[in-house]
Amino acid sequence: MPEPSAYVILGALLFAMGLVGFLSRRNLIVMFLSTEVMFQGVLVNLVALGRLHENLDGQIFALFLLVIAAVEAGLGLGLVVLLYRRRETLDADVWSNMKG
Amino acid sequence: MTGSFALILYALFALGGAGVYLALPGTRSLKTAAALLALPALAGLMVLLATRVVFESGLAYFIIFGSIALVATARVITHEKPVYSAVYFVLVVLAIAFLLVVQQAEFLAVALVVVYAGAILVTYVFVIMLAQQSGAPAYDRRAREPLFAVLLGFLTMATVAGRVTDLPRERASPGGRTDVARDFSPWTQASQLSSPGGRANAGVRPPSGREQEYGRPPGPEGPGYDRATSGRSTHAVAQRDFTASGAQPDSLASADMGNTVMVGRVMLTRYVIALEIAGVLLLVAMIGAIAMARKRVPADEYVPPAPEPGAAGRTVAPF
Amino acid sequence: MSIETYAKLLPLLPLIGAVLAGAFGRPLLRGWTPLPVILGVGLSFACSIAIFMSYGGGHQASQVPVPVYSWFATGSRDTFNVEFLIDPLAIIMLLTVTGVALLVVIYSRDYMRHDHHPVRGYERFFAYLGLFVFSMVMLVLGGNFLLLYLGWEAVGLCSYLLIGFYYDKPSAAAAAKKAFLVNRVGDFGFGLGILLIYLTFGSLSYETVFNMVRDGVGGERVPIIALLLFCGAVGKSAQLPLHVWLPDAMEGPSPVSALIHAATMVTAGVYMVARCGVIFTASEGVMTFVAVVGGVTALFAATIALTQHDMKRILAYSTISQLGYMFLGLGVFAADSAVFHLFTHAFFKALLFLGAGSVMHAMGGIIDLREFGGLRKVLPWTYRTVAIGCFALAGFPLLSGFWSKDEIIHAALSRQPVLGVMAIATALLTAFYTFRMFYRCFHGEKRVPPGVHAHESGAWMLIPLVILSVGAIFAGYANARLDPGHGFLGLFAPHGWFAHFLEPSVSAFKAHAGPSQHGGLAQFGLMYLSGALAIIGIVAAYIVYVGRPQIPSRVQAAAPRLHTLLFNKYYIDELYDRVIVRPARAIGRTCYAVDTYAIDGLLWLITAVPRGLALMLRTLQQGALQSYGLAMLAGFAIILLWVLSN
Repeated sequence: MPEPSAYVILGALLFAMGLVGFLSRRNLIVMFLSTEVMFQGVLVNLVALGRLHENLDGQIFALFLLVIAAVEAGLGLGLVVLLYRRRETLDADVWSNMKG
Repeated sequence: MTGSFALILYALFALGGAGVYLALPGTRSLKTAAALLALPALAGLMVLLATRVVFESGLAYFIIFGSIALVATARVITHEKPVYSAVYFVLVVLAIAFLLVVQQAEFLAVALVVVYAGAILVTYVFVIMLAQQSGAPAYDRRAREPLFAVLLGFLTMATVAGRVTDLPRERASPGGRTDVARDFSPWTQASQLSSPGGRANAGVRPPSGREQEYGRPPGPEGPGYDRATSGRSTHAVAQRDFTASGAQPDSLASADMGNTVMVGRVMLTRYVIALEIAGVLLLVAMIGAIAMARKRVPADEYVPPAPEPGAAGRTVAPF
Repeated sequence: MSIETYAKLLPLLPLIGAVLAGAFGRPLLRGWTPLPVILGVGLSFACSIAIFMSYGGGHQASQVPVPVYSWFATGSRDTFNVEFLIDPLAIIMLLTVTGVALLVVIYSRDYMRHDHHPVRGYERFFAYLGLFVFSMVMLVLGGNFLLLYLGWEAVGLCSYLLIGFYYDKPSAAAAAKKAFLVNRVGDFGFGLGILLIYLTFGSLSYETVFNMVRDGVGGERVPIIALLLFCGAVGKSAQLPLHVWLPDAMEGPSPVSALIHAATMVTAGVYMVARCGVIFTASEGVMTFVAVVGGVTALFAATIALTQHDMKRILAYSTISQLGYMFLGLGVFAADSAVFHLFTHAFFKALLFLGAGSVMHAMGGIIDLREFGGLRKVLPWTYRTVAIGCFALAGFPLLSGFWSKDEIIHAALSRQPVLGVMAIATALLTAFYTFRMFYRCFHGEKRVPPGVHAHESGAWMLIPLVILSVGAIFAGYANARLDPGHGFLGLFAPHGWFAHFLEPSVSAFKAHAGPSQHGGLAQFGLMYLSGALAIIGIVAAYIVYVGRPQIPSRVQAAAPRLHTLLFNKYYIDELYDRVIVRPARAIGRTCYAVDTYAIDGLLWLITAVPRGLALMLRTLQQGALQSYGLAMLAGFAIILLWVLSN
């Protein structure tokens, strides 16, 4: 039985660091990149825990997750481009119309 | 022992967190100090995991590629230039892919490389080239509220990780496990559920609940379709992804059927509906992307000046 | 139909008329708006005549109680009913009230028609008039103190509404307020008196209370009750010191002044004292006090009237003075004389006010004597009728005022000589100022304000004047009996049918009165004296104002300070302003400051908490996505910790 603790910790670390990057960087693209890092962490977790249960569910899930990630990255970047065209800047702070 | 494990883990996380914090772009960006803090933390983590956790195999690979992945991730989130972040991200993807191969998920590993490093990252780099202003603009030079971000991120993760490791003792597995370290045992328990009696027994054993659903693991004759006769059309398939013999799950060598074949089989029988839906999703995404690309977006008449980096964060009360 | 039925109809008819006029005047009746009120008041006058006829004096009981319905009950002990009491006093009052009201309403049809009313004035006026008649009738008819109080307050309300009829004129609105507030002061004492009656006697019904007082229940509370009730009379009947509202009340239209402030409402105080004679006569001191107040007020008001230029104001002070006479009469136990004076005064004072209204109508709203003069040929009928009224007021021999005033003077001289002398002086002054007004208005060279087309009034206005002048001449003979061989001019003697008719109602006064005041040559000599005084006053006024018009200015120059004092009404209004009004305003300002700063400030402080909280919370919403993300993560971390640790 493979012991997944190490991979779980690794996945958690990846996820957490991706989260930190998302919350603290102001560049829209780097924010997106950090979400991709979070995806990586989740991937690692999924596969490791799938191995624990001795079936392929984890990997299948991970594959679909990959699909979703790709879709999201594509559309998200498209939106980022549109936002950039609006304000000529990639700063996430300019989008604060909900202020107050 | 479990308590001390968790505590050491926490300490290492704290150290690493401090390092990441220092590395985040801002006026206090001190790369060398960060490195001095974070790298020993990483090393300590690897040592801890190596000693406390059982690796049937692949410990060395885990250490190497895990370290690479973590360092690269740290650089992704702390580098000021987005292009570098993207490139480091490629490194992360590659490291993860290697780890997946170690875990005998080869198809996924290759798919990861192809899709991520090949497609997604290229898109990212294109967009960066398109939108990035020259030089280091203000918003790249300072991070927003790095302290709280790091604090909360590592706190969350420490909670999860600590929970993983910090559980009361369970009863020892009835299997022939000899490694004491297996006593911290959520995994043992899970594996009890999965296959009581341990995997060393290749013989017949009473089916657990899981096996009721999934059918018996393939015996020496290997997985095959003949389970279909058990009456459940799409469900009674063997799903053992590991060697047909049932032994040595951590070996690098594949079994009779590679991982790819088995993934394909499972996907096209059990998860075929999800597969189709994924296809529809991709189609919709493509249509959406095209619609977005055609949109004529006029630049805003008034472009408010981007606030001084950190200014927005400063006016916000904690959080 | 019985007396009871007439009595129940009496208040209702004017009320229904008022409601009809007010509700349907504008849309439906238009020019016929006065009709419901005229009909209502006329019918109630007919009812009072019917009651008078069927009363017939002497047969059955002297009082006819008419219970109407049971109003409310307090607990299980006492029930307060709406009940009427018909007795001679009530009948006299009813006849006076409804009769004069009828004439005033007829007069008002033309007077209020053209340019004397603001928007929506016509039906409003008549509705208020009808309401007033209803209130006054209820006051007079009431058989217990509760109804008396009800009517009292209601006539005060109608007075307020009618004085402030031209409500967009600031002086009129202020005068209405003043009337109401000054009356309130008096009514406060009045209400306390009624409460004390209830506490002492346990009932508010006239019969019960009066019987108990006669039996001696109550003891030393009775004078206090009497004084408290008299407070109300002082306020309502404009005696010193609460007289200040009546001159200002002339802001209302002239019919209002005639009806309310001459004939009916202000006499409610006199009526009340006469009604509660049992209570008042129980104490000698109270009676003296009443007499003193009356006598002093009479003289006081007469002196002020000498100097005024506004015709209606002169008449107002004259009313105050004559009311003083009535209270003087009551105070010297001559209640029948007082009520008789009330009766005659209603005629000639209403006549004079309506005549002044006619003059005002002709002069385009101006009533200041300095603006016009010599209207004798311009307004012939007004001239004649007003002349009759002035003669009656001055007490010219054989007219009504002469008879009634003389009885009071005689009674006063018998019991309170000082007051009697004051009364005589007042009579002289009365004649003088009355004809001062008359000559200035109608004699001398003709002066008309520029731009005014002076014309005689129409029939609707003149006929009531004529009727009232007939009454002013002959009403006196209600109380003068033929006594050939004796008496005045060898023919007449006082205390005739009227006094006899009234006797059952005012028996308390008679019982406590001293030796009989009748007879004696001395009385008849007094009558000659008072007749002579009236003639002297009239002649003097003629000389001063018609013969040698330069005398008044010389007299004024000779005693400037005295003139100023009298012209400014002894500065009583200014005194009240200093002593009462300004402190009250200061208290009001203090309360306002407390309200604004302390209470509102406290509220502001309380609301500052959510406001501050909101201010703090608002900064959370920076519109920055990542801050929201951090907040979510923080919450998630806390929940995670919580869940995993349990």
